[in-house]
Amino acid sequence: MAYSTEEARVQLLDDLAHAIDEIGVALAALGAAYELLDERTADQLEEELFRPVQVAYGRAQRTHASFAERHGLPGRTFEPSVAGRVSQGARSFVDAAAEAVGETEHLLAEIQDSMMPVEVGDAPLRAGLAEARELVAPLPARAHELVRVIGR
Amino acid sequence: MSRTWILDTETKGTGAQMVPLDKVVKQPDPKPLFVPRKRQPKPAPEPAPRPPRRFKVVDLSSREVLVEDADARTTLDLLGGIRSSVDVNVSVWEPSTQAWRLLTLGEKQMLWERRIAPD
Repeated sequence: MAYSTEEARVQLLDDLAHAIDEIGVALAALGAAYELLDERTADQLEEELFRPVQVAYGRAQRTHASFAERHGLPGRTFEPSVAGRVSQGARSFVDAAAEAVGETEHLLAEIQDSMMPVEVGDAPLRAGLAEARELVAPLPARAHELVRVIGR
Repeated sequence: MSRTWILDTETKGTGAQMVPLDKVVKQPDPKPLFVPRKRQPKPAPEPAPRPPRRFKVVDLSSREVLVEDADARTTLDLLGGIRSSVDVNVSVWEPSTQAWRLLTLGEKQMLWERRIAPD
């Protein structure tokens, strides 16, 4: 029984790590888009997308590291993502970021729906998952709004 | 030398009359006209030397303050040991507001590009 609980916790951490990697993809894409935009749109991107994604990235990593530590499981280092080619253009980067944050939300929802956080998790883990999901949930819509501005 | 007379038409009421020319022509003012020089505006006082910028770096994941009130060199040294710019938040001390201001993405990127890689 103890072994299967540990296995489930490792699985939970892997799933969370997958979601964190997706946030990393979004951050890299937004960073690349920022470089290509005019000052006003870049400021808008930073305020409405980059900062919240960065906060979610930190929150999710903290959740991962602290849960692993509390249960004596190995932590993980999250490598920075690469955005892609500049020739893709700002709009394409923001689209990629929207897709990545959408996927993050989907992955976090799957973790929550799996009941693993209840069965083998703990309260701080559940709070961390909920907060991270809350942070990323409105972002795809905001990204699509920004894409409309860039497209004008 | 004969005197030159002219018809002075400036007289009002009684009509024009003949007057000697030298009475009509204005004699040059013996004193030269004094035109004061324009005052040179006072040079603006030298701005006070800007104090060196101080930085604070916070790890995004652990929320640990990695350095606070650090000079640029120390900050660049620290950033050299960090894997990605998205892993940290960098703030700068604003003397005018007496508060830390989070660097914009562009400002942080400029700092990041100048980071000093560890030996």
